[in-house]
Amino acid sequence: MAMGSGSLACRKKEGLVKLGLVWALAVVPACAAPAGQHPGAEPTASVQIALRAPSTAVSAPAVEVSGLPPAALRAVRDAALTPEEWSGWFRVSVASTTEDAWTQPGVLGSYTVTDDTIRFSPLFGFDPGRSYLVVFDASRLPARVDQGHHRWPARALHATVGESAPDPSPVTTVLQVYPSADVVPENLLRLYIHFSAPMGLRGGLNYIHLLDADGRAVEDPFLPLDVALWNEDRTRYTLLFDPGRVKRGILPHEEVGQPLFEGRMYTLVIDDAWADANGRALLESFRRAFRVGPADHHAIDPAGWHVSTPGAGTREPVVVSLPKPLDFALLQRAVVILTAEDDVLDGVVTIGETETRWSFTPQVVWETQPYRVVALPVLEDPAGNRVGRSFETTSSEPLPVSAATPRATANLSFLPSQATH
Amino acid sequence: MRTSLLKLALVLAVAAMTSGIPTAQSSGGMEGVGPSFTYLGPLTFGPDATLFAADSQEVFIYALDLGEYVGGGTAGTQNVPALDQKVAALLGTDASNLIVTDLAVYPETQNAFISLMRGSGADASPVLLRVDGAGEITVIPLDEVPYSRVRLPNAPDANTPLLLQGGREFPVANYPSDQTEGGVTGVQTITDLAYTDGRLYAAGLSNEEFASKLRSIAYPFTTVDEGTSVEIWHAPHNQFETRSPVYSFVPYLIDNEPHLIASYLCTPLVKFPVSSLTPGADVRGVTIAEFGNGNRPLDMIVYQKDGEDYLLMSNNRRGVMKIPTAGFGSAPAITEAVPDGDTAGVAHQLVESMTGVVQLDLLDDTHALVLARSEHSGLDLEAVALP
Repeated sequence: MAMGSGSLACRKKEGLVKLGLVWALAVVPACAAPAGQHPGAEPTASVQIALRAPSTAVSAPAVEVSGLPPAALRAVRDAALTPEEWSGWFRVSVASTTEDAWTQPGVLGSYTVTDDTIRFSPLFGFDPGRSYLVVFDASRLPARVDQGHHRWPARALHATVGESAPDPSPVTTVLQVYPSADVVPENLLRLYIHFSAPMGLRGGLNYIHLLDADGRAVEDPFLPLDVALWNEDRTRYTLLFDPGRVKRGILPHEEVGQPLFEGRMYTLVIDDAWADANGRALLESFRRAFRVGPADHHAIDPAGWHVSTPGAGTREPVVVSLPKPLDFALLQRAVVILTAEDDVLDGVVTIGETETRWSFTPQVVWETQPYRVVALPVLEDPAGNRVGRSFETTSSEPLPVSAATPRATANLSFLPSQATH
Repeated sequence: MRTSLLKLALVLAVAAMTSGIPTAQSSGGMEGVGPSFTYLGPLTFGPDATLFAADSQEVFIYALDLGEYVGGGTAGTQNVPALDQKVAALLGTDASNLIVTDLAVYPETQNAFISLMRGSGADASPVLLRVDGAGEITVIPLDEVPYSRVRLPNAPDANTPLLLQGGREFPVANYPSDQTEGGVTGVQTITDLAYTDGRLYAAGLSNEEFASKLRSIAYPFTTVDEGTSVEIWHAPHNQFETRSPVYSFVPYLIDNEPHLIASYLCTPLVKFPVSSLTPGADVRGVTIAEFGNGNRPLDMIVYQKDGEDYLLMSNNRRGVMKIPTAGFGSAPAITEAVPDGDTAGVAHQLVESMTGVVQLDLLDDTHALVLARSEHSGLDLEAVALP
């Protein structure tokens, strides 16, 4: 063989070549395992394998082989290869060795022949930070491809390509956990964890721990689900205590008991390893200590709510003081103000004082007319008790009025005062 | 990219869901080509190569017309050890970067269809795979698949009717849009689907309220009947009961009457007749078995062996359970807690030969197809003789 001096063929030329957001190792012909020779083939020092950054030509990073003679490009284009035929000689792989690359499945994608390159576009893109091994061996070309006098590379070529890893610096934090009070009911059903930025798809069970006062992990306190209960933009995660353990009289509760005990201290720990939407860990772990109070088996009773009297002609908030904390999320959509004309008033809801204070600032000034505070039937407290019905009820109670005829479950009214403000 | 309009739509949808109003009015009945799943979740086959697939995050159920994609492969199934690693190689990623969400067998060819998410971050992609009888893995080009879809909960009314003291009823407009800011809208995640006799059933789980709604939807999806919602109650335990979400379920005939056998989040297995699922109804399921702590059922199938029917249930804690169904019709409701022991109600046995099962579907008269996690190879696709 005529391996001309100055050829790249056996001169390892490694090192990252920055290509915008992508990088590639320059082509490294496989010196250790020379491929079969082609009649008439000559070494092709100028052949390059590289990851091409998105441009007007390609919408996503693609692997390109350049430096091939036009006749070779024409021959392979004219052959109209099937995907299987393509990956039989030009393959992008997650394998770590060239041997594995030829025996393991290649990455799925599409192949195109342009005027000066052969391009592989992966079906699902390249993972940033992951290395891909590109193997290119013209000796494996299907026999029906015209291989004469095209100066295909005499040896198998390979290169490692990849996109730069994203900045691993964590930025996302846990902002708050609800209920936010220092004391929670023994039969607590639900927690909300709020994050400062969108999180990944995965749920938190592997990252959330409940420790008792001695620092020992409480066994399986949370409901194991194969779905993750995120809000729309994945900045809030809903964590359910296992209702089988919270509810009295069913087997899990009888077997292993409740997860929380009145009078004891616990610490909720959220590991920083939980990945955000960019795959980065949290900036820091989160810990929240709380004490457990008595179980709450009482229905929500709006009769015990205190409603303030805002001034007529003002946009002062109307404040509803609640005798016990209610569910942070549901408070924001399940309590509404009705006008005398039965319209729901537009305004901004603010929840405060450990979810015992609901305040509403109207978009327009209060008029001198009666308004009503209405709690929708869905409203719950952190233990799952609803308006007029506790989470656990005795079987002798009738089923509630059909869901088809929801009732106004609170009908507190207030008349804005006419005092000068 | 989501718009505030979408947020509003979500809030409106939640409003209808939480008010429990069956709504016939529609923004649904939508059709198109190339569904865009945010989170490709549960699967179940319907008629004529229709694959129902839930988007668990956007709360749509898609009816995917797989007519062009169910054929062409080798019929049957083949065991594929370390399927997740092979799939990861094809998709250019690592097996740990895949979230497998469901497995469904297409009854006509007995090929396996597997849903998964590639990646878990902002750039995660839905993937639907077919594994044929030669073990060949094909990625279904979702962007070319025709679909119809329906949103769950059903498209809501613009108003929520409220019944006030004295019997006066009036419509209340749904919530102001500015209350959706900060990502506080409720979302329901679809946890299971089943299709039988022209109707699709869907169980969901809210990320806010604990109420249970099982939905029955006529298929083909129409703009006038998108289903009904009901509340499910399970029978009393030691004089206590509560609403509890149905997590998974399977249609089953008991004494020739169509029933759903359903499992709750808190592990009891219940039955209720399909005929009880009428709009606005409050349905009390009859508890026929309890499985104890941590036994949240994952998948259920019904099969026949030696002239007897059995329920096979995969489970996140105790492996796979086999439960004879002969006693389902006559099983007395469990009305008292069992203080000791593992289970109560209808007898069951643990299937020792099936371990690590994370997905389960009926393959044929004598086999189940499972995705099972093994210590050595990862996630194996395996046909297993029905016990």
